[in-house]
Amino acid sequence: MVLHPTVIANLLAAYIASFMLVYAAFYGAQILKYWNIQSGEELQLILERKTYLISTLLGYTFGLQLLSLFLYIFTADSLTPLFVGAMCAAGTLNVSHFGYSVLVLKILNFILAGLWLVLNYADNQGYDYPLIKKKYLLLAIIAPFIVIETLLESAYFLGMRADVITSCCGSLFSSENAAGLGSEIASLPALPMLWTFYGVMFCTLATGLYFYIKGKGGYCYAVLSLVMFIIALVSVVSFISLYIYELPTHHCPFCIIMEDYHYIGYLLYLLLFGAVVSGIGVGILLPFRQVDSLKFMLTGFIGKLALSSVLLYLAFTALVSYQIVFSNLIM
Amino acid sequence: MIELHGIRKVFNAGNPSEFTAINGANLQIAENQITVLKGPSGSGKTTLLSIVGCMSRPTAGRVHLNGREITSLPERFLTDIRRKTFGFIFQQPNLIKGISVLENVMLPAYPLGEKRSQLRIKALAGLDELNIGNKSHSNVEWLSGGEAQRASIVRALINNPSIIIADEPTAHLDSKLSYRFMEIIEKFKAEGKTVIITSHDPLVYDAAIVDRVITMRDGQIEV
Repeated sequence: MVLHPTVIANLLAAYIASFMLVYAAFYGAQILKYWNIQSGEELQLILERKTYLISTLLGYTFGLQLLSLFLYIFTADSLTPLFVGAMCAAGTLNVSHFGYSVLVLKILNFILAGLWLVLNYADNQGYDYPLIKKKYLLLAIIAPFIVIETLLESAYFLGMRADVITSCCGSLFSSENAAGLGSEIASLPALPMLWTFYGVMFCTLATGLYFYIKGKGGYCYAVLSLVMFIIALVSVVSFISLYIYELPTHHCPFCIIMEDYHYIGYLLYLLLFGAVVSGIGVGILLPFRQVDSLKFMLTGFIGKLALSSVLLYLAFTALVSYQIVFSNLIM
Repeated sequence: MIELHGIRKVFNAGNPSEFTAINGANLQIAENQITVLKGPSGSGKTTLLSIVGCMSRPTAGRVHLNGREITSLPERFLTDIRRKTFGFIFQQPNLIKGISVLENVMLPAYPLGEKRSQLRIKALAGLDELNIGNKSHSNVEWLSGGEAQRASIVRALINNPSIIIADEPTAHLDSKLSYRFMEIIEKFKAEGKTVIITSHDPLVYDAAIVDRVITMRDGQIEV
């Protein structure tokens, strides 16, 4: 193990999150099994009191989970000088098999945790716990992923040795090297990807605004925001990074979080992840618009989510366009 | 209408000091009536009153207020009901020392965001009605027992609640002030308010204005 403050912070965050989630999932299972709002039994009243506590705890736990994605990337970046061959977080994550697996899980868990927070917020607006079973069902789905993430993260950090020779991002995300997902994405033709990015982004924003104004096409927007998220991530590797680095061959999605590039990567990823969570959140909440205790507030909340998502995607596109327009790279 | 179904309240459950304050209480309290809960100390009157007034939750059972189930409500909804529906008069006036009578009376209305000038007019009118308008700017420490009690009644009414809950309101009052208190309660009834009082004072439960007396003993309602 490399004893570094950020590694300790990562592991602590992971253990706290896992412990809290397992604890919450235990009560969540009881709620799924025994919850009956019509009943005045002692168990029901205990569950009502518990859910208040657990929802509050989970709000903080999932907030921590959201931050842990950025902390993980920051840690990988800050450990770079310890590994021969590593130039940025890409190399650090490559020191063992677990590095990228944890990253993928963290991205997935970020979205799931964000969606749980959206669902929890909506549930808290109703006086009769209208989404409680859905909320704890989602928790039961998320908990194993977060526990697996913790196990893999522990294996990654505890098994880390400073004398490992790793690859740099130049070889991991190279359009010349055909092996590996990173290289495959990097080798996608930049200009068609650029048009795909702007085309799908236009459709996504148009659908989002249409939904915000007319209240129709919400599910379509939720799906499009997920598709746009994936296309945006691919685009970062395929062409956005090229304009930021002003190099036609450097596709790394991690160097953009470094000081040399004014930490612009953090802002890009923050906008992107915020946009996808609020975008999918629209689709998650749409089926509950007719629930009695939610119908007066849910339409407004879904509208706000859609608008947030559109604005975040718009800000992402504006930032990317700024980088392209003012870049010295001409393709 | 307030309906209680199978209310149980256990304190320190699972501990050696476990105590069942209420054991399976079923009750219906009608609107626009004065209902008195009487019984010896420790019979569960105050506990039952605190459950009805949403100040504590039962261990088991449900409370319905005008057909709406309120025991399962999350805390912030309960706060809203407590603020707008119930007015509380306690055994002790529980006025806040160091501030004036007027400030004390206006305090429970602050979270509702009513305009201060209007609130002030309302509070002064309430104090005048109970003949303590001349004390409005006095600090509460300077009030006599009866005046403090009347100030706490005005405070309980500031949000115009439909239900007044009074827990042993005459315990610290002499007979004259107790009769005066019952006159005030009669006025509430005339205004269409529901009043629930706990008391073991005959002056209260034997009063002609009382519509119903419920006797409690050992955490149960005697039929």
